[in-house]
Amino acid sequence: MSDVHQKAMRRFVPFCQAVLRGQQPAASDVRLPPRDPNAMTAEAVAVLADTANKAATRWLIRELGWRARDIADPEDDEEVLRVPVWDPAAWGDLRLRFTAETIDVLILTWNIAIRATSPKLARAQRRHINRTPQAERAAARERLSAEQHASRKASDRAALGGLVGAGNGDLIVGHLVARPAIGALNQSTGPAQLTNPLSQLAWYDIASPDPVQLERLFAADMLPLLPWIAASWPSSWRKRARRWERDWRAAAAAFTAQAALWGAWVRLAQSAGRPDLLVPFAEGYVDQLRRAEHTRAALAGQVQGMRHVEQQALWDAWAGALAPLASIHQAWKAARSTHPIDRLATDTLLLSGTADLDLPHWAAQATTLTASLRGDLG
Amino acid sequence: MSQTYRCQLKASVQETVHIGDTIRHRLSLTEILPADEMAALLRQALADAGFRQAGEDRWVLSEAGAETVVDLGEMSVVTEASADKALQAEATATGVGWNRDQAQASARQQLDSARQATAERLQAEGRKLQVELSDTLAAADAAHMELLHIVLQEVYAESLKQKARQMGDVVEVTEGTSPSGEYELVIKVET
Repeated sequence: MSDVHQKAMRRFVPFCQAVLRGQQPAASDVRLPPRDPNAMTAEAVAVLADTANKAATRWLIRELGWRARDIADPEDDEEVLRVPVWDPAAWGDLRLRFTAETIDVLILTWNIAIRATSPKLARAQRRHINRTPQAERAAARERLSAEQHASRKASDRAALGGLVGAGNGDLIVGHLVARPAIGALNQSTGPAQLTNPLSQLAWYDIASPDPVQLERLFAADMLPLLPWIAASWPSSWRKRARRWERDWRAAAAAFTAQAALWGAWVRLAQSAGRPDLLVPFAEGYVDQLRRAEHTRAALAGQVQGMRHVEQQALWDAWAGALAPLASIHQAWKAARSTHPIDRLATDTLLLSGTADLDLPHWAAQATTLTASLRGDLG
Repeated sequence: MSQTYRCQLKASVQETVHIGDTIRHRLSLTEILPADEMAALLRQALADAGFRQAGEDRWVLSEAGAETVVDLGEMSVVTEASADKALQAEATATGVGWNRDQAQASARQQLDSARQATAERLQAEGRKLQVELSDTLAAADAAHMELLHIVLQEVYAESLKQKARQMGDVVEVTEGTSPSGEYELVIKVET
């Protein structure tokens, strides 16, 4: 291991620990190459593996909260069990599998967090004002180095986006590092794309959906984890909605992303035969519909004076975002029409999870709102 | 004693602005009768209401500065208004110098700025015209939609009457308006 790498590693491990614990990491400075065995000691890998595992498990528990859970009885698919969160039955199959991808995610995050402007460049730029030949040459060298740095950062960013989540643990770590990585990316290279499917759904309003990544969410190893992960989404969506309501362009983007992301989840939940996974989305819709009047007034005020055709594009996007609710309502009706004795536990969980929501009322409200947004006649 | 030169230049600035806007609605007919029979009733009702046929299954109404097209193939209603407006204004600039060349150069420089300012003013005027056109369109669309609501009401009333006749002997048909202003149709059928 070179001196540079040794120096980097001394900071890299604490950096990863901070990122995975959701703390503000110290800025990174030296670029580390991904997939280079010489760049990492066995001890460092062991520490990272332990940190990643603990951080991912802690996050899952935090998302669900310390409360009792209703789960499908593993021994009888028609029975629902209410168990405290410390009961092993509540955990289900929480085994997390990590691959070298997790190390790559952390290395790429570290690289992306390297400051765009080095103190050297800043000094050289100050000297450049004096216009001495030496200062100009130094500034040119530093500018070239900054350009190379930006280009490497772009390639790191692309590499981060290309990771598929080989193990379910990799997928969670990818999500946990997304926020600081995005913060660093936004500062240096403008708004970032979220490619991790967990991040896409948690922060749906800035994501452009990737169907392949979303499909990864419903792989067999993710199904036991999804109720844990999705439990906190409605509150996350609520906070984000308050933000985009103030900017009609952001609202239009949020509606488009919502139609694609929530629609993909609903279709996948149906094809996986897991109607219980629709509960967070039902909650999300009801929350949006409760505020619909306020949202519409806020957005209408912003687009007033614009051409009708432009206004209509916004309303059409909103109507599109409401469309998946019809499928959730269909699944709810199908579960409800089954006699309680014959009902599967997943149907029972959907019904109990939405019992306080008055889904038929809000589905009817969504239909009325959609017709009004689209200006339907007849 | 020295003498100053003044030079005044004028230029005409022209801007052609295209203004236009569209309001789109989706048309959906509840199938009281089979779809083709409902469509036939709608065609007749549109013709009676003053819509003229323009192409296959396209019905047009041009009134109040906007055109509404009912497309029965696509089941859409589009109200549109557009115009090309030629806007013109004069830009003037005066230059002063110690000789003629200096005064002309100064005037030319100022005229460039005046031209740009005039062009921006014309563009702002274009935006104002766009807002006016959008307002006109909204008013026209509201009027046309009111007419279309009456047309659709007639179609549904006629469909229900035909459906009732198919169900048995129609004993009584009562049409009227409820105290709240809603259209009411009561058909008694003997089967």
